[in-house]
Amino acid sequence: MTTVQIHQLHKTFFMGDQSVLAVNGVDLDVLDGSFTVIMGPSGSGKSTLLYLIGGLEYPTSGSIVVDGDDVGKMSGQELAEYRKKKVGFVFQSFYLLPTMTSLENVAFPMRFAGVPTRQRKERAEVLLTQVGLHDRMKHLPTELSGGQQQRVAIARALANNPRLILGDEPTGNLDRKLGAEIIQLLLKFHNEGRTVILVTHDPTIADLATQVVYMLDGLIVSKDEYMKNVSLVKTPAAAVTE
Amino acid sequence: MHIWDLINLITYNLIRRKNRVLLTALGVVIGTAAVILMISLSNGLKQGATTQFSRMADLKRIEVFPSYGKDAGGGIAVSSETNKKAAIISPAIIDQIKNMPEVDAVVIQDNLKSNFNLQFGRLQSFVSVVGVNTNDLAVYDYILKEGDSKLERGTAIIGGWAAKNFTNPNQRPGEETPPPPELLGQQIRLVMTKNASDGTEIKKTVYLRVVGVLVESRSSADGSLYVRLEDVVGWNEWATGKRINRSRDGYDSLVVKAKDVKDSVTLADQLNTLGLMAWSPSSIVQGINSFFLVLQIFFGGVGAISLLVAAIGIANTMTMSVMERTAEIGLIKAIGASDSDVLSIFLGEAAGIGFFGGLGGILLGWLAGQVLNMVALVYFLNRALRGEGAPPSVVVFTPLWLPIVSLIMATLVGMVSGYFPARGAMHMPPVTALKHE
Repeated sequence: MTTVQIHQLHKTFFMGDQSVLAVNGVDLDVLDGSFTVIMGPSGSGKSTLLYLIGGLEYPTSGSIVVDGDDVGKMSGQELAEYRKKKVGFVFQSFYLLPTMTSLENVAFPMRFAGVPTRQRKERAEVLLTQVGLHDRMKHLPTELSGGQQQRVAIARALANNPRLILGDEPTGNLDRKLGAEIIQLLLKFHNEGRTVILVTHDPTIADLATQVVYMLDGLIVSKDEYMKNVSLVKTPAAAVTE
Repeated sequence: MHIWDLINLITYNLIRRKNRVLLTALGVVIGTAAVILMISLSNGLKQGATTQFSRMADLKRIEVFPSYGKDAGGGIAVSSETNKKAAIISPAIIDQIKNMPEVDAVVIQDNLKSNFNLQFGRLQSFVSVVGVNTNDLAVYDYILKEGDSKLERGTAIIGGWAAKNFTNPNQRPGEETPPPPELLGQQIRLVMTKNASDGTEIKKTVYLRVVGVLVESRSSADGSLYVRLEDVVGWNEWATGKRINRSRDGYDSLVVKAKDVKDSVTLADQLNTLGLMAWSPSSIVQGINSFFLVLQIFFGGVGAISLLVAAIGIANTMTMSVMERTAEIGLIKAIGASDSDVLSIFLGEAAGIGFFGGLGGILLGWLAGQVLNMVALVYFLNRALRGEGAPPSVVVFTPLWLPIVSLIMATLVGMVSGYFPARGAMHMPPVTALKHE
């Protein structure tokens, strides 16, 4: 059973009079309850693909069907509803509201879902406990470490109990140890039955995934082709010795 | 989002930027205070002017004169109609006026037309003798200095100025001017003269008992001697030697009293359309009112300019706020806020600045008005104690509607100023907003 079905997806950006094909005909099925990792270098279109799945942008052409509904054909209002109910985002830069405590940050999305104040607080407390921050509820983001801030962001992503968690390089701003802890946390929620889609260029994360997608220049490619190209791009010194 | 959640979030957002919000709201405070104070001031001045005037004249009273067509001379140019038909105050027209629903009372007035001289002992005074067909002068609402307002044949009520100005015509240079006589209850002489057909002068002397003396009111009553209409009619017939045909000649004037002050101007207009010349002191009050309306618009406009400057301040603050919070806008869209949620939040913040600024402005404007009132009261009291000028009154009066309207206006100013920045926030693509650092 698939959660996300992507067919011939294109996304073109216009920068001045130049057009950039960020996503250039992607076909992809993401299985329900999977832990999917999208690998790719900068500019490969992986983040754009993630934002298209999350309903933050409209595709130029093609379809993204989530639970039977084409995200690309939703109205602005329906799309907001979709982001609110079905998707939880985790970003590289956390994006916590600096003047709100951990608890308020986690409770924040529930405001837009019309959850009463008391239930908001109760659920935020449960979620913060789940991410191991039961003693950091009244702290402001500036009083937390980077890893703790990302935990708050994960708790916030789960606030409205979405099926789909989308992570845009969630470990990108953290060191290896803290990054590993965040991945463990995401795996925990994956094991509870949620579908997780992560964008990263960290190959160690790919080893934990149930499905790995490799992207180059807006297209999905095979692992071999990816490795060849990435090593060319990433380590010019190695390329010379070959 | 629930409305309470929205209000709660807006308040939260305003409080977390309280320094900037306070500075921006200060503009609204000053603007609203200016509007409140300016309009209250012109309102207070207007009230002062109309009450002063009402003390001088009875606003229910309408004075009615006959008209003699459009080319007729005469000083009372009150009618706006240029092609007026001639009309006399005939008994028929009087009946018609009496039957008008707004009319409370009608008093007929006729002036003494012969040559005459008013004497008291050796003293003389100059008056116009007015015959009235009422037995109680109370209908005029003149204030009695002494005596009674009841009038019967052979008695008279004298105006304040005329009572004071009895002089001796044969006073020699250096001789002291006699003090004003005590007239109440005394007999005064009305000496009338006419010329017979052979040129000889015929005199007629009438004795009248003074039953009342009026307080000076700076109106036509000051120089009048009020007697019964029947007396004046008799004397006029003696002077002209013939009976007066009222259907042809009419009466000299009428005093019509409206049942309600607010009817007097329309009633005067109605009488004018009958062809008569009617004038009501209320029309002066109307004039005063329209003058002060212009003043209010002008003063309010001055206040509105400062409110306009405040609006630019709000627009600036909101534009800055939207720019600074671009990433936040992206985030709240990513976590499920709809476009209308974003618009409501930012529009609400702008309206909030206007609302709280308006509240502050109402308080400040009202306080400033009270201080002005206090200063004015002290000034008026000092003058009154020295026996000069008008009795003390307020100069600033804030009507109840003004703070309500001002608060709504300040909030609207906030919303209008915040509209374009808020719309900008609403239309911001979430991904672009999130990538903005």
